[in-house]
Amino acid sequence: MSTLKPYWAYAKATFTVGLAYRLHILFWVLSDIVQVSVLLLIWTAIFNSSSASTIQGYTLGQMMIYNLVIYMTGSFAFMRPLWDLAEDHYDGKIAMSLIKPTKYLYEVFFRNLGNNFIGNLIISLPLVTVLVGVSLTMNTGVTYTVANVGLYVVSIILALVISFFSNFLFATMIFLTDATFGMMQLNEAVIKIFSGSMIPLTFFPGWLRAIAEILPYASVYSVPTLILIGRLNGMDLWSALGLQVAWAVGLVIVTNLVWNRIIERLKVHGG
Amino acid sequence: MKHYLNIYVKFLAQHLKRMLQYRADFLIGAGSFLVIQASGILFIALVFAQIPDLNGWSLDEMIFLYGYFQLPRGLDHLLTDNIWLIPSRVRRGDIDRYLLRPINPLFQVIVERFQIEAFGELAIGIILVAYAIPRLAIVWTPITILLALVFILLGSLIYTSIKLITASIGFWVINSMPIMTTIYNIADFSKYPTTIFPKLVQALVTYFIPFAFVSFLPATALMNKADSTGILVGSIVAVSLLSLLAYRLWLKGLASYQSVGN
Repeated sequence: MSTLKPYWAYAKATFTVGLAYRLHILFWVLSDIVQVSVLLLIWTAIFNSSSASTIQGYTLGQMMIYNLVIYMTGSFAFMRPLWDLAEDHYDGKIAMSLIKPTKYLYEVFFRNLGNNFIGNLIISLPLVTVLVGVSLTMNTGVTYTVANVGLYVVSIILALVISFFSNFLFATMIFLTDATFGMMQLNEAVIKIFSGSMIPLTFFPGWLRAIAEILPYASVYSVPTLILIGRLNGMDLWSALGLQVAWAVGLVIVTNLVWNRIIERLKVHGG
Repeated sequence: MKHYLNIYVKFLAQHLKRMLQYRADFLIGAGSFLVIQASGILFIALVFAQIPDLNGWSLDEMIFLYGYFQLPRGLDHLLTDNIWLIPSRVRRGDIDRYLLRPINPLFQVIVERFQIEAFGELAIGIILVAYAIPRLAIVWTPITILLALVFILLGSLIYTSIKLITASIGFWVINSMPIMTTIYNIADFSKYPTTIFPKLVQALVTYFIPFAFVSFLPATALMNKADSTGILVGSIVAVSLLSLLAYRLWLKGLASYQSVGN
């Protein structure tokens, strides 16, 4: 634990900076409210246009719960190292970080963690309130067992690791192009499509669903969400958790290898 | 006026040279917008696999609306994207240079960037609209074509004005970026038929932050679902009021601007 100590300073710094911008926070909440409202209202309209009361195994209430939980999950596991990398690359700070006794990769991890805490402080409270409200008033039939909540926490921690390292790996592509904003958008689009945050993966045709479920993005969003709302059980549950562990371990190793090679190149060429 | 046009053409030539120089960056940037829009279309397609229509709107009509939505947005994005940088320029005290030159400051801000990545948005918009049009019963006369183009222009002016209003708030608060993003996100409502939303939301995007005039109302007018004259008049009124407000706020902001003095 003592080796982690200097890294916590990075998390604390981004957390404190985040807290300082109070107006930001207000508008973050508003922005989230808009996004969640659009989602819930669209699903309401979709169910109103349907002759059946369930679509792909979801009632309207359950679909709302799904959307709220996956939004919350996305916020818990939110890690976006691309900006850090792009900015530090631009400012030449990556080269500077080589003379520090801390490792850059983990420095960025903890910076993101600090931001993540800020985000959660802001979004979780209102979201959980809405979630409880919907659960109580809409009679959705979703029950949250102690086991599911416990497994959700485990799953979220794995998701946090997968989220950071998969996005970091993606972000290393900025060394090949200057289209940073485009890369950021692309990253978001890939996440949106394959994670289940746009629509439950059961809506996909079989082959697309199979691809999506194997990719790491489903492990970040869909898996914890389905665990919490009790839609992953028995063998499916354990294999999903197993895949999460595999992705977490695999991505940590691969990202370290890739990053070390990039650093070697930086050392040779400078900058 | 001619002087300004001259300057604009010179800047444009430079931007296009840059695009040719950094071809890969351009393709990635434009390609990323394609993928993002593809995700929106995927959502609509997957939903329509489950329902026959959405509140009376068919899949083809939805695709038309979604494609049409991209056109004013893409146009605004292409030409005036630099307005996004106003808040950070104010914070860093970088507005000085616009004030020093004998050219309209807003013109300088806008001309500074030509967001070529927006071609991705425009491309997907054109593709989707082109896909949907033969499937819809729109009677195309020279007047409807002209109307469609005018609506695109008015719609992009709505975007620009709202962007400028929210950016100008940056003269008085430390960073108005989050305000800009939040308001900009409200445009998402107009990717869908506004009528599927509750009355309150409909009123919000029609009368307060009039994104409904960007795509939903023009699309209904073009598809003969509503009276086009009324929508055209409404759109012109909305654009006039908004752009006037935006420009005045910008001028007021400039007047109150004090540089950090470096």
